[in-house]
Amino acid sequence: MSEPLSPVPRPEGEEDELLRIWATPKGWRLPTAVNNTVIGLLYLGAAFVFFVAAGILALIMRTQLALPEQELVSQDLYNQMFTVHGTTMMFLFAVPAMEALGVLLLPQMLAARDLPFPRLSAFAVWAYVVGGTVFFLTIFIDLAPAGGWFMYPPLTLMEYQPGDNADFWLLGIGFIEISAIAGAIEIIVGVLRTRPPGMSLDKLPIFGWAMLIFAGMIMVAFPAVILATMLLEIERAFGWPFFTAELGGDPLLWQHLFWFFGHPEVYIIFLPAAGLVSMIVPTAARKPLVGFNLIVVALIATGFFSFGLWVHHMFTTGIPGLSLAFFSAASMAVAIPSGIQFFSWIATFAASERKIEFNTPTLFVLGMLFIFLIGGLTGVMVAMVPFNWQAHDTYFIVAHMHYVMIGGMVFPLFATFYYWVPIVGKRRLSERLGRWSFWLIFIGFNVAFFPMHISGLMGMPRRVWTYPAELGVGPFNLVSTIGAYMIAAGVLVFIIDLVRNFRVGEGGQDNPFGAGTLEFLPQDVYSTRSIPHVSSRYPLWDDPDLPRSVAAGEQYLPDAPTGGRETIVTSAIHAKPQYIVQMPGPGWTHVIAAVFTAACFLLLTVKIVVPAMLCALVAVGAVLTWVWSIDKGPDAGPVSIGGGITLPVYVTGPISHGWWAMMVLWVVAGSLFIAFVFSYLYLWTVSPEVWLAGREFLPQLGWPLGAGVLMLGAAAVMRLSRRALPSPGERNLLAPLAVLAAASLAGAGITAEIYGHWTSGLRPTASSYGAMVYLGAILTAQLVLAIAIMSGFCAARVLAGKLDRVRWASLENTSLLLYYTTAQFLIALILIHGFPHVMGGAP
Amino acid sequence: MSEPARDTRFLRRTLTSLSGILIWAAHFGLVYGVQHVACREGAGWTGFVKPVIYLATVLAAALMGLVAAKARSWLAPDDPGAPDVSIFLRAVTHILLVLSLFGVLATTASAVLLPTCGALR
Amino acid sequence: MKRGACFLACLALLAGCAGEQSAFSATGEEAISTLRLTWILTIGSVLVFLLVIGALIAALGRPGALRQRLADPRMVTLGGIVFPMVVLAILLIYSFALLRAGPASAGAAPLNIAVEGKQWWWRVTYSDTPGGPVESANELRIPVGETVRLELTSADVIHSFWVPAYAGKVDMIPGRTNALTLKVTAPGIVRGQCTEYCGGAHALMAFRVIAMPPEEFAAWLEREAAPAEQSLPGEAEFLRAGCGACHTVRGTPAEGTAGPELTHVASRQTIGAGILQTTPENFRTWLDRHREIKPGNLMPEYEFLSAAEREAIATYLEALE
Repeated sequence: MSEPLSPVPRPEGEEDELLRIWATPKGWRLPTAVNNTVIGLLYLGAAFVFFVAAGILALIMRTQLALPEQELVSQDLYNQMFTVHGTTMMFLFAVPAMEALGVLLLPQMLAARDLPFPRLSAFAVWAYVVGGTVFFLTIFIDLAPAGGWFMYPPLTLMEYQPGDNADFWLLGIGFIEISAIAGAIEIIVGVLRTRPPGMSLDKLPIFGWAMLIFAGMIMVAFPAVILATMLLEIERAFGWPFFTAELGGDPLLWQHLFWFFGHPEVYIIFLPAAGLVSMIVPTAARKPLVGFNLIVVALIATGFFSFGLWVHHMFTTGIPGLSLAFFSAASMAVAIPSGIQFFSWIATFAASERKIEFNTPTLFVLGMLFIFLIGGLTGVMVAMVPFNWQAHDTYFIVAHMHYVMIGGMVFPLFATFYYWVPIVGKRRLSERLGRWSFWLIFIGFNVAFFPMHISGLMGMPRRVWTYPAELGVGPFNLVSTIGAYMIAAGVLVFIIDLVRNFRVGEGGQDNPFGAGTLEFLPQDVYSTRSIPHVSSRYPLWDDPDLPRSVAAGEQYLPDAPTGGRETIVTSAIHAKPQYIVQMPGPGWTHVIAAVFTAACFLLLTVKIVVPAMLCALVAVGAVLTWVWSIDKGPDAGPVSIGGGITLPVYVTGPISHGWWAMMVLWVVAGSLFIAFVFSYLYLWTVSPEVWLAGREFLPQLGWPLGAGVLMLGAAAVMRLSRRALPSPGERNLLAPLAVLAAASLAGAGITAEIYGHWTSGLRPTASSYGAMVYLGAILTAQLVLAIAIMSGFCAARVLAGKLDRVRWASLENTSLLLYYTTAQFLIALILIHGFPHVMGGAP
Repeated sequence: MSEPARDTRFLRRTLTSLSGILIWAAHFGLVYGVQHVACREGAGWTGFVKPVIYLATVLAAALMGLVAAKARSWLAPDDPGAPDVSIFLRAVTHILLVLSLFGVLATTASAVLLPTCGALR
Repeated sequence: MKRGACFLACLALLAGCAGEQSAFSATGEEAISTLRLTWILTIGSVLVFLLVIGALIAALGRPGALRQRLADPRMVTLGGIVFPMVVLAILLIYSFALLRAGPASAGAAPLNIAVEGKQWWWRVTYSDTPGGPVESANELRIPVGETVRLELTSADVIHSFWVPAYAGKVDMIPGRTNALTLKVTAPGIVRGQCTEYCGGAHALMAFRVIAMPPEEFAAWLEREAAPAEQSLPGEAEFLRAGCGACHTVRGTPAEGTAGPELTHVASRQTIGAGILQTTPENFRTWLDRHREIKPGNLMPEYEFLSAAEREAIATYLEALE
């Protein structure tokens, strides 16, 4: 036991002040809460509700398929059901559940008081709850999409799906895109910058690693589906022919974009779950994870390799055999990291010096190993091109993907429920009910899904609402249906357990399983009483006195020196303390912003445009109000956190967490732009004749040159505007004018680009070439719009005396966005105006 | 006001540690892109595909060798006050290099064994 | 190999897998080699599964020498990296060898047949017929032992052509032409079905493939190419009801192309794209209740026709042999 870092005993009333600062709003003000435990629970609870709802749809579908040629559910309803089932499970359950666990568990594992952007996660959660609920409810009013969760055009174009149904799919996905990206920013900055002092990257718990990779994958994968959904909605609403073959589009473009997102998506769901298993297994064995470094590599490698697999879903589309082989090879490579994790878990169990206790979390982990192993092996099978040609889009794949998803994600999730409930609940869940639940789900799962491997190869295609008796798969389907009901019974037992035993609050044992990581330190609403110095991977094992020391306030930051919510920001690799971040507390603004964002999208979906725009205005207004209050400035001055360390409470530049968030946003926007460049070039390879014809409409060189110069001018003026900022405590007019001038120049630049194409006669509806050209401009225009709003915000803050030479985070962020936009715009100009000259082909 | 501690060389450490898998990604993208475009453009282009793939493979392997040799110095600790993460980062770098090399070779094997274009059905 | 095949057949029987739309009852060259791959993969998977689960059970069991060895970090490298790399490399090379051996070996000039997917039926055109292309629908006839090249296209959304007994599936994508080469080893009738979700009645978009000896095939194609018999009873009602706007009966004024070609519809195994057996009764059932039998199909309902008119049309159709 080392010396206390902060002097003890702590002053009288210090803990009461922490309790007051971090208090959860009560009663009707509960929605204003932003603390990660409240938001995390809401997030996880909503995801679980969607899991149950989509599960009920699955039960109805299994009932319909129990016997051949039944007519319990109509064809139309069934088509809507499997679309909603798939979409809900993937987008409203799996990804949000994993993000929810990140929000809920990461701060506890890192002994941080909260994640760095609490209102951002709260906003994302509310948008998701409102949008997801509306999406799901469409199934009851015959408005649900019926294009499958993969929504392949041309089936999903206006011509074949004229109603609003498909638009509701795009709406639902829009929300998940927003909340996933918001969550990714939160998690990356949270994991890299709010670790406790001393927890260098080699001591970061595996779940933290998994969430870091998870968020990194979202940054790259989600922009592809964002672009895809933009294209589809634009083609549906305005007829720009991205996917229409007659006008130079290609239905396969959707598949490329969708699966570039969709395959990594499987691993986005699996990696955090694998991370959870890597936390539970060492506790069960009471031994450190064997092969920690290997597991970290496995997570990273999976994250990258999974992006080389997307054509895996397109083996039957007739593209060249060698292309298929490349993706088959990558599918092999991605299997190795899973092998590493398996043998590491086995080794950790084997390293235990005692008999493994088969409690409920351990049972669910073992169930995961059994089921995911089968899913992984059938995954290798379907990666074999010739086998894939038979198995693709049959019940073999239904079996395979449920083995992977339920084994890889749902079982670890249930293990998580039983394992981590003590940190948010007053007592553990029931072991007896837990075992019942496990065995019912485990046996039911195998009964339901194993026979599908056989029925699939016997000729049962996916997504059929009925099948003839002559197929001979009736008995297999009946068995599957029985299994489905067993799973449902198991989930029901779990719900009963929740109702009987789950009570949010403090109390009970802090560390009932004897785990070694920080989330099992004594906690209250403020997280841990003080933030420990970490010097090993399992601090609770290596320093049994740590919980007492933390609770006594002997570690870092036992008080609230700025008088508000705050936590320590540390350096990304070595976790050296850098500064204290001041965080916002409860508020209505983010809730209003979320609800009106949802309302705006919803109204747009049913094509009520003017009220939708009003809602958008309210939402933007709410966001601006919310942001107005969070740049608190350096007033509180440097503060001592204990251990002889004094930290500033306000920083800007590359060490600030806001700057890091902007870098994440750069990556997201960059991924979106790269997906656009890919789409542009891809459609050129498909329809070079359309590009040749489009070359005739290229504007004079003056247009792109002028546009580029204007945008560069905007960046330069923005750079200079920092120098025009007033000293602290003063205000001036020059700085606001400079900022607004920069935004105007940027606006002029993008306008010149669009107008140039328009005057030369190019129309976006005429061909895929025109559509792509204008889309490139739109991608920049939306950034310029954001910059314009942010510039107005900055100008107002200077006038209000809230933006000056020191306290200039708002302007810094606006500048960073403009620099990025300038770079993207210049590259787009070179591509759009240069590529048609070098692409070859007769004029 | 005390100057907060900067994180030394975050970008360099990250890129070095990830270099194996980044090389794989670049190799994969290049190989698939070249093959896709060449097969779309047709005759005259397809002959270049395999030489390009082999060249890219040699280059990727050479780069990986370079990283393996240099990892120690690129990742050396430079702040005596901070925990030493260089051993961990070096381990990550090297294991990732091995896995990535397998990925690159598997891609190349496809090119060795299969014709450049054609659906093979 | 003989014994292997016998073993496989026994397994297939055990699983009750002798259906007519089954990858287990392979009679096409591609399907046969894929079935062999399937069994190899299955057996390999079972072995790996037993190995890993065995290691897991040992790890959970009584402490001892085996458990100690499993706890060694080197085991993670060996089991998690070296072992999968070796196995996967072998598998990869084997599957590439299979790919490479594809239809390239087919040689000789193939027989060309075009199949177009349409919501929710199949247009089949025998392109190489001496008297010009012959169109049919929802049924494909091919000669045994000869190389057949299918040209697969779509008229509207994406469909997928799958006859598991002969070969894996190939998508039919608007704006693209895909090909599938078949070589069937035994005569027989098998079932195929659309396997890319194509909206509405996707589940009811099936067809039959009949593999026949080459000489029988030639004779059949000659009959198929001939026009329908003239002035059959019911022809007048058929034309008067406007059926000809969508359907073609060669030799009559009915020349529509929106719906399936009907010249020899009664000689096909099924009607409604593989939904009903071709029987006189089923023609009537189809005309009376096709919207119930195949919801969402694009044929108008014919309640406005009298029972007698529908009866006459059904009689006409069953005479189109």
